[in-house]
Amino acid sequence: MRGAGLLGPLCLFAACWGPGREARAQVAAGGVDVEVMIDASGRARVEERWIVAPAPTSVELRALMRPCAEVGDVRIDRDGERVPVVAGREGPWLVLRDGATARRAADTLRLLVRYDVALAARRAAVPLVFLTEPLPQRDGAREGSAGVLVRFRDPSGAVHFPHLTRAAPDGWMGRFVAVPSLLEVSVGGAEATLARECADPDGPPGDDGGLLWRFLLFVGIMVVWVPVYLRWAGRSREEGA
Amino acid sequence: MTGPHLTAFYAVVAAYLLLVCGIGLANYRRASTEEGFLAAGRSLGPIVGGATLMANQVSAGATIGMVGFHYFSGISYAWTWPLVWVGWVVAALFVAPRIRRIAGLTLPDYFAARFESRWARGIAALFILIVYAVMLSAQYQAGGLLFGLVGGLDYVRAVLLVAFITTAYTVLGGMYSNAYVGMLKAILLLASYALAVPYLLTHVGSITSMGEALAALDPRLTANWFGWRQLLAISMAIGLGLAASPYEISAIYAIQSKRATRLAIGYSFLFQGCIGVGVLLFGLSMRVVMPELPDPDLATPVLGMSVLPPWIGLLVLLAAVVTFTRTGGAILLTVASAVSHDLYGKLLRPTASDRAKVRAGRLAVVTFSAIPVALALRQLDLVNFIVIWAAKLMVSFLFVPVVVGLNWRRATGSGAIASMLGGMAACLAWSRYGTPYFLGLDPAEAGVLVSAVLMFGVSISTRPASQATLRRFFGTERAPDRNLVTG
Repeated sequence: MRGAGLLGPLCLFAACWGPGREARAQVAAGGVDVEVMIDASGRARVEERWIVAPAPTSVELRALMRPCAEVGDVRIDRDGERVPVVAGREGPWLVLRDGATARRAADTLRLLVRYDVALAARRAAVPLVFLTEPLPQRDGAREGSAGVLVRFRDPSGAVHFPHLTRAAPDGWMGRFVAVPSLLEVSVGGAEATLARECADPDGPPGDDGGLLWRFLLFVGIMVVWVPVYLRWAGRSREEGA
Repeated sequence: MTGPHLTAFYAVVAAYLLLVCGIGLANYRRASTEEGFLAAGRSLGPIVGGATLMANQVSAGATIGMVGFHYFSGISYAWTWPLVWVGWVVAALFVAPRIRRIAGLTLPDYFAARFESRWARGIAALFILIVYAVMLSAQYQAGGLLFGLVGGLDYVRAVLLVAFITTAYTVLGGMYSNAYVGMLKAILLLASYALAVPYLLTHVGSITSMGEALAALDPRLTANWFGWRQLLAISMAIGLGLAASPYEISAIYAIQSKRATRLAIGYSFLFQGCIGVGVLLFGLSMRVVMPELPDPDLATPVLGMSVLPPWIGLLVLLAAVVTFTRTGGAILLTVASAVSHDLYGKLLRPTASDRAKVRAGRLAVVTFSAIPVALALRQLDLVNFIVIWAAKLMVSFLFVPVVVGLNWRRATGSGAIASMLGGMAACLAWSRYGTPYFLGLDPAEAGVLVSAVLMFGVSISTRPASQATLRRFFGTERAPDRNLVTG
């Protein structure tokens, strides 16, 4: 009986394992390599190399602006040609569009995005620019399509968020399914030039769209409901309950 | 998640499976009787019972599907939690106290006892099988996405692995392991949210700064992506469906007493509240950290694998694994009971021994697993949309016969059968019609409405249940209703 119980799932598993292997096709290639070089003065140079499906119109990129980090000198090369960049703001997001007009038919679009980030604190978040289209997902590949490499001039620098692995004394790397909007780092060897912590990590208050009061109301309902119900349930009699 | 942490992930999953098998084997003798296998010997106290009820409700639809829902639609879906709790109160007031009177093992037991009808039992069992095939496919899909991404398996293999794990665990343990793994699931979920949520708030920013980023992406993310009408329809389907849900009723049967059942519902609220807040903040944080995921359902796997520190991420991933295997187990257990107890033991071979019925149940678990696997491989929709659709089907055919049948003496077997058939047909027809829905009614609303009209209409036109049955369910004998038709 016990053996029969175990045998069933094993048979099901074995029967289905083989034939299903090739059922799902691989998705088209596409991805991005992001390289960030941070020096001791708190200046980060970011270079992103994208290979994606060709876009019929101008591409849109975004970056999440954070306190104590200023993005500047944004340059975009499209298939090897420098294109003008139109920048704008939507709340905390920096929105970038390439101003290219002529389109060349090709299998892939190669974008090179370069920019500088000036950090005002030893521990701060570096915004990363990302394309506002998802990268293709690779079936059966644990590694995502977005590679991130961060290098520090001073090896005491570190990446705190999201999780990256220290691959060398001065280098941190990770692969993601999508480009993270920020990299929280601490800059090594910058004691003299930068503040220790960002003075106002949340920045000046903006429009949260009502998220905070809705969240507090949601939590409040939960906090009130549970004890009220438990009090009622605890008082109910077994006979009538 | 890199080499050593990936090894740790597999090691922890393997340890979890060994633990589940250990619980199953330790209770194998107790689970070799039908009451032990399906109702844990009616031994669960309020806290383990509460964890069991929560663990049934909080499926992969929550830990993976709802995180994905919050990722793509923002905060508004969170309102379904308190609205769904109304369904739990209906269960505490109108279902649990009365349904325990029959000391049954399965929901179709109730249909047979209350409506004195083998047909009602058979139809209920059959419809449960259909709806649970859909529900289980959502668990397998969620598991497939997680194992696919974290383990580097292709999606087909990942789904099969999840189906294997879930099936093996259910076959070995029955309700005993389901109950104790429910407790483990509650602890893991609470621990992972307790560690991950403060970490995310520290690094991603406060609720206000998240709100600024989300509102600028799309103002509906911080307000009402879903309108109240949609939220009410979804909550009605899930909440009222829970009040009559077969696996929740199986869990209610497994709790010691009526008072313990009501307290267990309260403890499940406590667990659910914490999980609801955690799931919401996971989804919102991930939208800020990675706004362009290729699939919203990947939010939890990506969070655990490559955003959080490895050991917290490992806990989040393990909690998700426990969630879909545990809920999958509860569903399979219900399937086993529908086949072995209701279809095989009561309809096909009423003389079958207890041992033969348990064997039939275990065989049913293995056989039935293949259908949801086929559905999961097709990836019908986002995980939570599949769960919602299954809930709509469920509420359409079960809510009225269960709740009205338990609280209205005049409800009859013919009324219950008409109610189930009509409710299911209406829900399917409305779903097929598509949006905007016919007469502005959601498929779940149409299903419940048709089901209720048929229940009342057919019941008052047919012979009422026997006095013995009415005494069993309603206690003191009352004069027959004035509109009683004895033909």
